[in-house]
Amino acid sequence: MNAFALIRTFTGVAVAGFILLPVIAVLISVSDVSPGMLLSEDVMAAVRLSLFTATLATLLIVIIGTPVAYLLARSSSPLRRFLEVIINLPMVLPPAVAGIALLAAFGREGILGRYLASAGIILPFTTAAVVIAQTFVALPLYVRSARAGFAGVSRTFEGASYTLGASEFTTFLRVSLPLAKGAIIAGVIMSWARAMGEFGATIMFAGNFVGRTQTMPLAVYSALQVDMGKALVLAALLILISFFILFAFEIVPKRRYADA
Amino acid sequence: MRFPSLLLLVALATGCTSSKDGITVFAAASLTEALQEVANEFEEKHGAAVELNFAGSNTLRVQIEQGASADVFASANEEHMRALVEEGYVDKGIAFAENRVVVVVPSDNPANIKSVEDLCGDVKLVIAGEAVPAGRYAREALFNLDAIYGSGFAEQVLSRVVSQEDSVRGVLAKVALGEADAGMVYATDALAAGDKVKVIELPQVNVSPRYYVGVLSNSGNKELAREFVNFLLSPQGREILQKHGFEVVQ
Repeated sequence: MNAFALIRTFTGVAVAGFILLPVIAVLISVSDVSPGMLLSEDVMAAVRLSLFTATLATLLIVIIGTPVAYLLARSSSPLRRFLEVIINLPMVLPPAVAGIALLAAFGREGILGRYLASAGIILPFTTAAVVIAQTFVALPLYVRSARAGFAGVSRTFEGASYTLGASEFTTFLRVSLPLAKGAIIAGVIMSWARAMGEFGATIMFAGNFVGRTQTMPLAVYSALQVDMGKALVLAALLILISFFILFAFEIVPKRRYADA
Repeated sequence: MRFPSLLLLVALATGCTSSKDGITVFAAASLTEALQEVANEFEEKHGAAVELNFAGSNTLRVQIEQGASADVFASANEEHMRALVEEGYVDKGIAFAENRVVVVVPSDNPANIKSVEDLCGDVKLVIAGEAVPAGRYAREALFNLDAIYGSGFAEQVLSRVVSQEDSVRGVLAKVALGEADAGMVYATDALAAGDKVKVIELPQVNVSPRYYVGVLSNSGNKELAREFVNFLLSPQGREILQKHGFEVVQ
């Protein structure tokens, strides 16, 4: 084995260890905690709320993100790059900044929020605010993936569809969408995972209340201030969920790509 | 030098944990401005650096129990201090200041709250979490008010809570931003927020938040830590506390 190969192997092992050690540490520490903790009312409330909000956010993301992804893949307008930067912005914003930004926009005193408030719609401290925060931060992950999928669809297929008399919308629905399926599913999984993990924007914009806005990451944070055991149970649960999501991410799209 | 960055990392890690001429003070969030000023004065007097870490007292307690290295702990209630003393993390807790629970509303008072009784109505109330001293005092105060406004008053008000913050300053921020209609904080927090909030005093509720300070048993610099505590208890320290609205304990 030459030196370079040795370095590669070594770093591979070191990196895997660096990531695995904290994860395994949580799973080991949690074995001391009574399993009854798992069924405690606020843990279950957090799990339910997280699953509900992350799924709703992902649904919203697919509905609003898919046309945007298609636009980005097909448009040749010079504005396209600008749009791309805007869409990717939430991905690089620190979550606390995203939280302040959402408050400044949709808070009761926010530039849009004050008009919503006078119409009787007050978003902060509601489950809707949780979904908005999750949508905001997870949208770019989906759009990036779906855009790459659409970009990979050869225009020849779309052209053929038009020649056969299909409308643009029918072509999108029957040709482009199925061909980009793998990338779209990958995007769904990644954005769902990101929504599940959302913390900073949620705690700032939606607050922290059991059953209403306290998602699993917020519950971990709150539990940490009182009861390490409960925090560990929730952390372990989140690790397992993330693991299975990534596992699905590895398995599912490949099979779908093969179908396509 | 093969791994200069690794050496740097080690240097940083060791540099942070034990500084010879400095101490780290873990203090309740409500003490923020007061202890910053106390620390500044102390630094000037002793030529020693004081690092401050503010959070809810319960958070600080968990951090200390999990092995965070600190030299002085200032708690917003007796419970967290007593627990740390009993567990052997703190030598002994000394009461040094008192505070008062008040209701704050945003300066434009969107829910038009005139008295504590109005908290029963359709308001968005924010308080601190149950383990946070400010959250505990707030609940205690509300339940004591049952005697004045009738039983069920506290339950009714608590049903208006839309968020439980991790420190009293989280409550203050939500009110100062105008997102919450009302919050329950300390009188000193309201003072620190200036004209961003309006204060509504509670009727006599027999809740007197009391602050305790102590030196950590495994402090690497006990002498300086004790000097800091003594300075806090000195007339000069008391004067600063009073300036920020605290009552000092004689």
